[in-house]
Amino acid sequence: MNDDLALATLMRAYQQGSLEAFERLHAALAPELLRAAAREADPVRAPDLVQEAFLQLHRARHTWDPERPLRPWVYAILRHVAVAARRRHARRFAREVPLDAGREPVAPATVPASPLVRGALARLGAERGLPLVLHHAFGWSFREIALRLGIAEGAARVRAARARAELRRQLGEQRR
Amino acid sequence: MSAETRLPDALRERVARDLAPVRPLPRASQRALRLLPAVALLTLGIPALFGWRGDAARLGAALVVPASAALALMALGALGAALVEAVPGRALGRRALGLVGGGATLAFLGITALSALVSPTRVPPGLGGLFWRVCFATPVVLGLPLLGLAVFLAHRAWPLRPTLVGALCGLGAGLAVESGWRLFCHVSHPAHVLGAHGLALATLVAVGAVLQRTLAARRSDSR
Repeated sequence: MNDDLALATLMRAYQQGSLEAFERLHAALAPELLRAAAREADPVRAPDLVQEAFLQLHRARHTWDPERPLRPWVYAILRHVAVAARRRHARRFAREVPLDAGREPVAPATVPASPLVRGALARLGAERGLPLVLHHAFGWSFREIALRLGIAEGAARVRAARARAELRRQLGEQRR
Repeated sequence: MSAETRLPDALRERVARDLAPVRPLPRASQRALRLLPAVALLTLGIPALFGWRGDAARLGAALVVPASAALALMALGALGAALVEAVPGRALGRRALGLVGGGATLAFLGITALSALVSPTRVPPGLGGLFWRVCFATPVVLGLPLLGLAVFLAHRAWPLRPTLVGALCGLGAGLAVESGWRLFCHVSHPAHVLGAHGLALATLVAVGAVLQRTLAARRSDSR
């Protein structure tokens, strides 16, 4: 949906309390916001930034003027979220002491596991598989993982949970 | 729809939990008009309360009320700019900010210079400290209620650059106070006006910036 008028209609309905309007607005805007967030920050953090932007948008929904276009308002919030995330990331790394050299992350394919599991982990890819492997196979805390990967601790937990679910699904299909 | 663009259940639940209808904010210009009575009260109320400056006749008609009216209008302009900037997506450009800040500075300096030229008056000998303290502290105190109101209105709009917004609120409050205080304070010597009155204005700018930023940080922390 790229019709400004349609978006404005949805936003007005959302301001009046329609959850369906919010869902449709999310469906319409999330893809382009994801692309924008990937440019503002990096592709790995973009989904988290987009969800944070929608949360801020929800809190600030009363500030949108129905007589003005919606996109500048939405993008301003996204940019603010991206800048704030960059600053938090920079502050966190400025404060933290580097981890020991022995705690270098490993590729998922070198994890001591059956070939079936290693294959599934390799298919997940390093970005999705690393938080799961580092936590469950090597005992890293999510805080350490977040510091190492430059993401929020909550994001590390979410990625590990998603990777676990995907791994179960893949392994479940292969066993059938 | 990919997994990355799917609406997460946690976000849907969070939104559904707090989905009361909201009334869109009135336009910035309408909101700025709510501050007009406070600005007018400062411009006219200060001389009504403390008395009119003794050299008003020598200053002449133009440099008494019209000059203060110009400062009051500048004050409303700064407050309006703050309320515009406070709305996401309505960030003021450098030109607009330059106009507001530069215009306010030129007006303050220009009126100070002209007043000193037309009616040169100095602080009485031996009373420098007292005049300085009164002309710094009293305007700051008088400006705080208007500053608080402006910061509150701006906070409702969800400013994404709270330091700038707060500074503009402080500039508006400071100019509004100066528009009235100069109708009372008869000292036109630039050292006194720029020093005491100017510092009071700068203090309100700084307090506004800190206050707005603090409110924005509290909002972020309360997520």
